[in-house]
Amino acid sequence: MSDRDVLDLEPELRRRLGDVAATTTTDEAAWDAIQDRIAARPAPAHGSRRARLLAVVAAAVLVVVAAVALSHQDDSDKIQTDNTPSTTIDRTTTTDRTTSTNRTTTSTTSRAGSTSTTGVPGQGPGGGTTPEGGVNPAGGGTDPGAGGATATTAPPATAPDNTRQDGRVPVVSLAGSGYTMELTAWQSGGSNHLNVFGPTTDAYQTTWSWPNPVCLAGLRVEVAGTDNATHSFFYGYVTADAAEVLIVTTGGLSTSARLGPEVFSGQRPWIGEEPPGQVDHLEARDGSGGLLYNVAAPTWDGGC
Amino acid sequence: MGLEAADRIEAVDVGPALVAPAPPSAASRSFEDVYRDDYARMVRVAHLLTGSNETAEDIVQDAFVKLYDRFDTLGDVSGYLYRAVVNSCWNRHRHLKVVERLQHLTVPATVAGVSEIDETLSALRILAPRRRAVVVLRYYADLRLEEIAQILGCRLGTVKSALHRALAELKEAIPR
Repeated sequence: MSDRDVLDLEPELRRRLGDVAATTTTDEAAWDAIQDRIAARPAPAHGSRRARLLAVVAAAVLVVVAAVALSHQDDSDKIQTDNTPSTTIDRTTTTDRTTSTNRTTTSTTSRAGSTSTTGVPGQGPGGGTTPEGGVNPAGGGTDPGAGGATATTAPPATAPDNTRQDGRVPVVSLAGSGYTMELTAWQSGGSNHLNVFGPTTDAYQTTWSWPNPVCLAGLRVEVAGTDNATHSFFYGYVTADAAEVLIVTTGGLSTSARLGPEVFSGQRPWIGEEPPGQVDHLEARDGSGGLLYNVAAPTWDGGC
Repeated sequence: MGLEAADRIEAVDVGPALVAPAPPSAASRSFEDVYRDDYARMVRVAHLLTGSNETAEDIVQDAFVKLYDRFDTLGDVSGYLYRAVVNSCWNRHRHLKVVERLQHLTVPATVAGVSEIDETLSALRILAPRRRAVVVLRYYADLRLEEIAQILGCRLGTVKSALHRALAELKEAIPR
């Protein structure tokens, strides 16, 4: 196309785009709608001392309850509590960390937990899928006696204990040397959101959302660990039929992400530490190891 | 997703990065001021990018909610809004493709030629998302190519290339 063609087209484009834009209408109640959305979003925990004291007491009770529950489970049902027991967190029982010494591939494996006995939204009778909050503890997720209750309300402004400061129970956590990363999830406006906390619990880092549903989608986050080292992670959602999400570098190194429960219909959150080197792509695999999706930079999304 | 790498928009967190030179008054504007100044313009941009007025409002309202949490840390809120809106429009585009795939739905073809408005929207729709964004930001929002590159998170050369290709495609689609 010649420069002359461009010069001819530009004014026409400007005019046409302006004409289309002139047909755009805006809702007179948009300001109120924004205020409503702001009010409904996860609120930082700025609770009073009394609220915090109550939270500590509640935490102690929950720790005892969780300890008793764990002691009555057989080995296959044990839940790794990571110091913050929760009946809704899909904790894994084991972390199989394998480093190959004679190959260039290092694989860190964290399998999706299937041992949580209560409160996995959307899974089993104990789960309470929440159309709005997903894993909103206000709906009974943290109350052992209220398993299966469906939460429909916004999270509490002050977080009860064992929840993050956005008022939600983490749905997946990943701990390593120098960090404990946690994700909380919720839905709004047709999107699935994730809040990222780390390198310690309650240390909010960032948030992102993806339209519901995605096949495999991820995003990178970098945190300064408590060990003063920089740690990089990918996190996002994958379809519920995925058994593993791998973060793969151009050099063939890979890290297996930790998957959370099916917090929303057909969608599981995940987070994994970035392996050393330049990340080339993310891939999701089914229980047989078959490749489901392969997504690459710059979008880190799609694959189906 | 079947898109060329050059046509993808990086799905990066719309963090506190400055994406365009901050206007002198940016720091002194209140959140409500920003709404008053930018809301309608952002909806129009999103309308051009998505082809849907309703979707555009939803996206821009969501962008304002995200903005609210970072408002005190941003130097250029308009640049942030552009970036958030463009990324959300791109996400919405991908979402439609995923839904179509998962639910085996067929998105009905748009009837073109009903009016010049429809014709223009149809012409925009044939463009890959990045090219569409470049065209809208350049010829409607009247942004400089450097600003567009920052908003889209890509290099200036990529913007120039996308614009050139977009114009070549539009030349065929828009009768003059």
